[in-house]
Amino acid sequence: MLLERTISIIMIAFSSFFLVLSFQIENRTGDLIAPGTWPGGLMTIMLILSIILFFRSFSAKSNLNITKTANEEAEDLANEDEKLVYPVKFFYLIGALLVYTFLLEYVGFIVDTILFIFFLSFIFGIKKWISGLLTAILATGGAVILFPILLNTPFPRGVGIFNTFSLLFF
Amino acid sequence: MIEGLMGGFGNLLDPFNLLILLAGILLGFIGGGIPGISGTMLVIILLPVSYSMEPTAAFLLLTSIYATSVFSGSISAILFRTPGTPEAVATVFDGYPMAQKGEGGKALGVSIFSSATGGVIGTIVLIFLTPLLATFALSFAAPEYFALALMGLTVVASLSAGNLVKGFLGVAFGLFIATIGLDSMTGTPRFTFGSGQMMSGIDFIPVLIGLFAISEVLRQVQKKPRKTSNQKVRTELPSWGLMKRISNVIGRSSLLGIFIGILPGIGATTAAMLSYSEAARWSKKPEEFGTGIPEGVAAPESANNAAAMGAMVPLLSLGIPGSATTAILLGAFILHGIQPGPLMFQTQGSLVYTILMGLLVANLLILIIAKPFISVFSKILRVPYSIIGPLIVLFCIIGTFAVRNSIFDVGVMLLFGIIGYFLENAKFPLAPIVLGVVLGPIAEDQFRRAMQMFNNDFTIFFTRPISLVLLLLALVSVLYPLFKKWINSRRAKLRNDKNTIAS
Repeated sequence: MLLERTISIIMIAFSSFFLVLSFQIENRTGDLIAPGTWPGGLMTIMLILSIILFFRSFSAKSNLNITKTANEEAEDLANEDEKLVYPVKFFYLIGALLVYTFLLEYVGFIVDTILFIFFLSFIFGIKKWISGLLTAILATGGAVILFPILLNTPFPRGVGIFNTFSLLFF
Repeated sequence: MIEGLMGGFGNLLDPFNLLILLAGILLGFIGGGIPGISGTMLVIILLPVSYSMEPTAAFLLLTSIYATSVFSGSISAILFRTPGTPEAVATVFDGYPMAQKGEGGKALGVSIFSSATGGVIGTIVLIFLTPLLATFALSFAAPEYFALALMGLTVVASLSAGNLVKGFLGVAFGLFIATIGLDSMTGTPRFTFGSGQMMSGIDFIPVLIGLFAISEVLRQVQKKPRKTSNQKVRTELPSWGLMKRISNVIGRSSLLGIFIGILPGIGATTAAMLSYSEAARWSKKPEEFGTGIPEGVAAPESANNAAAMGAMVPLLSLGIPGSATTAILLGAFILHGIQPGPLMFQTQGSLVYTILMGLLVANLLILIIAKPFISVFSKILRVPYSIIGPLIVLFCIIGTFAVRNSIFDVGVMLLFGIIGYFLENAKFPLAPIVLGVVLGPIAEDQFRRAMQMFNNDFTIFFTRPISLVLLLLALVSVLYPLFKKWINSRRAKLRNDKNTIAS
């Protein structure tokens, strides 16, 4: 419930912010249906709904009354005996993804990806470092062969020495 | 139409296309079989591979993966009590008890047979219904298209969630994301904050990959590594007697599945659950369900394959996706410069018929390929998630990057991965967001076009008959869950009153 309340507060802030911005979109024709009308309408709906959600998250009664749909029952079954035991890995993974995305432009695809996959396989719980390294090199190699070489997708090469290095492969 | 189908079949026989089709089927088997990779995720992962292919090959690959992954989720559902895809959850109920009784091979055979039959029935309905709907939709103008998009969105919001507020919040959020960038009618920048990258808008592929794949990986990484087990089973296809026994169940479940699949927003998972409970209700011995009987495997398996095909009907005929995976397929069409919709039969007839024939063949091949595949399968399942997980992340990054060669998009993907993770934790349905993002441009453009055509007269949506009917359907889909809740609460109240009187 706390999560639901937090999300509804974020949504109230989000929709009010963009509602104000929608009114500021310039309207050259002076028409009723301007570029800002549609997003403005959407943000109004979102603001009203998120306020409803906010107040509903306080009443505990609403939780009891919700009948489970077939979908939710199915999910419950799928999630059974699969508890989240390593919450800290969530932050490791996000951190790794952030660092990877940031470095991609400077270090280039090959070096960045090998390091990233190597690190990732530890987060995902690989035991031996040699198999992690092997996964990293094989996965990167496979991706390089498939995309830049066979399918001509331009991958980031990086700057300076990394650029020269990448030219050896693609 | 027969001509078109024959032409499509001819295209399939092209060696490269045939090879791609087989590759798609095998990939669908493997991906669907490994728990943690759903058909949706697999189609997302393989999008980048399809960018540079010819449209025919690309869509044969994506659609055959989509068709077969629905089946192969049942393999691990039966053998290991872990559904390989969400669609196979209902298969566990009777499939696993059968395996415990030592009838695992029989259960797999029933699953193969009913999946293939359900899929083929679904494809046949798809082949005949799609052109009909498309011809009907040719007369649609802007108001009808807007009403259609609106109906799709409301049905998704009200049915997929069971919680109207959250569903509609998702739709509004998704529609809003689609407005970022240059306004397509006037060229006015909206919410770009002066950034050049925001100017070109938020592409929906990074949003999709983030919401569905990255958020799932973020969840999986926190779980304990799965124990891989080792079980040898000999698959046996059902005998004539057994086929006769389950044919009724398969027929009913397939029809139910197709119907549910065609409705926007509720897909194969719901179809499987519903047809399981329907099969139990229709059965003479409902108490046997859950103890490991072939009917309990046949019902969900035929329904989910049929529903998967049914979900393609609105996509190909109207250009409105009915489920998350078909929304991704819509994205793939747009990437290849093809707009799905009623005109597609005229402009891309050969492609559509090839896809339809490809789906038919893919479903038929389940019968032939599945049996040898399962014997090899036990080895593939031993690949641990510590290797699969990083590979999924890698493919997500490449898939996002390759659309527009933009690192900014990778950042967008990561952001939506985190958003999707928390929204799912708070039990927000993700499908409405995705459909909002995908249908956003259609809905807004058609709305404004209609307004321009008819001088800002809002009544136009209610005076044109088809648009009125569609809007009424949208209204019904909103009111129905509220009505049902009201009935339920009244019934509960009456029961309580009775109890107090009795005591």
